[in-house]
Amino acid sequence: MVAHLLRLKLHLLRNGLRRSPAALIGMVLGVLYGGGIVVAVVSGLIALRFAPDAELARALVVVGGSATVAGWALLPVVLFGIDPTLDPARFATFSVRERTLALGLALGALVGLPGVATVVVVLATVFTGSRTPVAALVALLGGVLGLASCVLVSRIVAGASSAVLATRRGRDVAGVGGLLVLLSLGPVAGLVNDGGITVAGLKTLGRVLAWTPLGWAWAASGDVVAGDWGVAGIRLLLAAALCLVLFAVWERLLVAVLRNPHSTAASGSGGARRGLGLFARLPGTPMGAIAARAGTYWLRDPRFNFPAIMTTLLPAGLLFPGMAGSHLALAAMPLVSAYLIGWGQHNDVGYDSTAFWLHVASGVDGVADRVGRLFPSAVLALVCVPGYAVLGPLVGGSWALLPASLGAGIGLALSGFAVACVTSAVKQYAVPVPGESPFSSRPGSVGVTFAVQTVCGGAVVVLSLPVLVLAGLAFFGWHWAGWAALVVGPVVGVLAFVAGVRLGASLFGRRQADLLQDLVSMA
Amino acid sequence: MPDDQIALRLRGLTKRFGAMTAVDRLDLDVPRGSFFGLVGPNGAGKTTTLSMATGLLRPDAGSAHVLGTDVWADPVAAKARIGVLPDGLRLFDRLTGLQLVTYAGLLRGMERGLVAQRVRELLAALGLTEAQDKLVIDYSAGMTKKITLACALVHAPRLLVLDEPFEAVDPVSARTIRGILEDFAANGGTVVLSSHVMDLVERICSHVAIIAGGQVRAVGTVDEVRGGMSLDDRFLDLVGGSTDVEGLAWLRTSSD
Repeated sequence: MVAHLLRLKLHLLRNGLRRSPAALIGMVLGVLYGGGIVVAVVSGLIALRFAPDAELARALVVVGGSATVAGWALLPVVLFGIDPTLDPARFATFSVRERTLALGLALGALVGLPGVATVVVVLATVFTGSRTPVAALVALLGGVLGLASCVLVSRIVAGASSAVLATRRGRDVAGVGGLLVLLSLGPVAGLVNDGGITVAGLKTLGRVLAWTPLGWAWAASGDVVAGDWGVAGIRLLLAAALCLVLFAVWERLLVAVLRNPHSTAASGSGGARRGLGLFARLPGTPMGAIAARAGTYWLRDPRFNFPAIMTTLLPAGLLFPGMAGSHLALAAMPLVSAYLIGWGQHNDVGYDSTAFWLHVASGVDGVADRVGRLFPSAVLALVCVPGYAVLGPLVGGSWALLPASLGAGIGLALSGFAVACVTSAVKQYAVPVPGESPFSSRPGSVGVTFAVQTVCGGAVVVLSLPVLVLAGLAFFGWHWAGWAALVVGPVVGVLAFVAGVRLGASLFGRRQADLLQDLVSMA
Repeated sequence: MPDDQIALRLRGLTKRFGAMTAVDRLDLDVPRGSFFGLVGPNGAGKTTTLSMATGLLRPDAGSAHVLGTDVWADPVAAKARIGVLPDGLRLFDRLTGLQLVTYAGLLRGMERGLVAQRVRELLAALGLTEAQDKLVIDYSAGMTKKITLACALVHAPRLLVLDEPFEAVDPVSARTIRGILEDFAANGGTVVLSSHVMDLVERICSHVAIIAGGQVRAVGTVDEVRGGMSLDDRFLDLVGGSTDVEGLAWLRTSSD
């Protein structure tokens, strides 16, 4: 049965790749990109085997291992989305023993690029630990336990988050939690900025983490090398116990989902609504209607309002290095905000899913579609970009940098909208369909997503290069450049935006049926 | 038939998906004012044909004309005359029923006052006034079909193209939909619908085309096509396929 589940996952992966060449290209890019990192990490681990300082080697393995476990727990939620192919609720109708299913689904998480990469890296830690034969054996045991806790933790987080996010209250809580995580990145970044990472600091961090659940499994081998046999044994036992506990939690979660499969399905009801809402307040034209529809969705659909909250709050993370005295961080807040808001619109049609047919069947004008869609994000940009631009000097930044940061922010936002107008008429990648968790992702689509996002990001930066250069000059003391940026940003931005709308509208006119076909094939 | 008597003219329409040809050089003329049924087995190419005829799917070859306008050469003019009810596509279902139909009207460039008046009448005629402030996602299957029909009708099209309008619809809603469609056809509009319920097509349609393997196998008035048999028998005759159930003895509980 476990083998069946693994084979199922492999089939899903392969069919996802077969479905579109874009997914295959994405996979290749992912292999190259991730493969490069893996090769670097593995060679580092091999080099550590011969490093004279065994204590440092141990600290690095423990810190890296702990980070890996934390990454498995958090990254799917924050960055890539949760792969729903092996969503336990889908197995509710099959008569599979629950323990078998729990085991199979956990192992299934290893099939795929992140799983393979982790396995390779864990094998390399065995080599790092091979200063003595026993240490190598312990490293292997620890590695297996560490790997198991990675996978189990990620399954638990995925399962729990999809259940939690099904309720509005849960989404609010998750939003606050996500914000705290992001804010905590600020101090860490500050630490790195101050050159706070020293060998001694690393060793201390390693020693601390070695006694936390994140580090138990990875530290045992180093203990053996240091001769602390008892401690090594205790850590291995603790790590094994952790895996058992995690497995028990995962199994209970699975049982809960299987016996009540609808608990994870998001429901979209509640609240009395009367009348036309935004449709009555915005102009009664196609463009106004599209703006009203987009605005209504931003308010009602967690796939929009959740990222909107994140986008709004994310630049606030720069306050930490900023308060510590970094003028650059404070001046960059409106830029980051503008970039995130503008660039974030590049896949808007993808979020319509197949409901986009209504636009195609109505023969909507391209300009109306392009501009109308940007209404809610434009409102957000109008609030956030000037807000962050003024907030920086208010909390201690330099007022002299205000024109530069405001000009660059406006330029970045408009360039982002310009790029969005074009890309959302050309190529859309799969996103959670309406009603799905905002954190889920489509199997086999990570590569396309990554490629489109990178191209869009690059295009936004290129378009706003003039104003970015001026803002940079202003930061290094040329005051005139700041005022020039305040002029050049909006002017170049508006030019780019007009060109983007024109090009996007003509592409939309020609390609709307193909775009719909793309969306149908993704649904 | 003279050109001005044709509501929908398809010529050599072809669509391939990879190695599979879904629609194969299909020709079809739908006379004006007719109530036209498109029937065929699953996978015959009905949805693909209707999508290409309404501008939702680009054909690999061939043409589609709606009341003399080429759908793919002048899509805006053609689409203004068509109302579409697709099957298996989503709606903007986070809007309320009232908002969705209003949205459909405004997208067509209609004036707001006219939209408001027509939406009110449509919702009343379809029995959705009570539910107009509920989100469409909370609608039942029948209500969803009805609200989609309202979206297709709000701009007063000349040609209605409906893909499986009666699927998963309860008898009461089906009667309402049917009443509205018959009224539409009686007043000079043209209705094209696909279905695989032969009985229904036989009862309500004036013309019928049987499609299989991406081609038209028979076309004409309902009486012409069935040629004295029931439409069901004529269909099985043309499309083929055995209806005798062999094997499955273990399903018969009496064999225990």
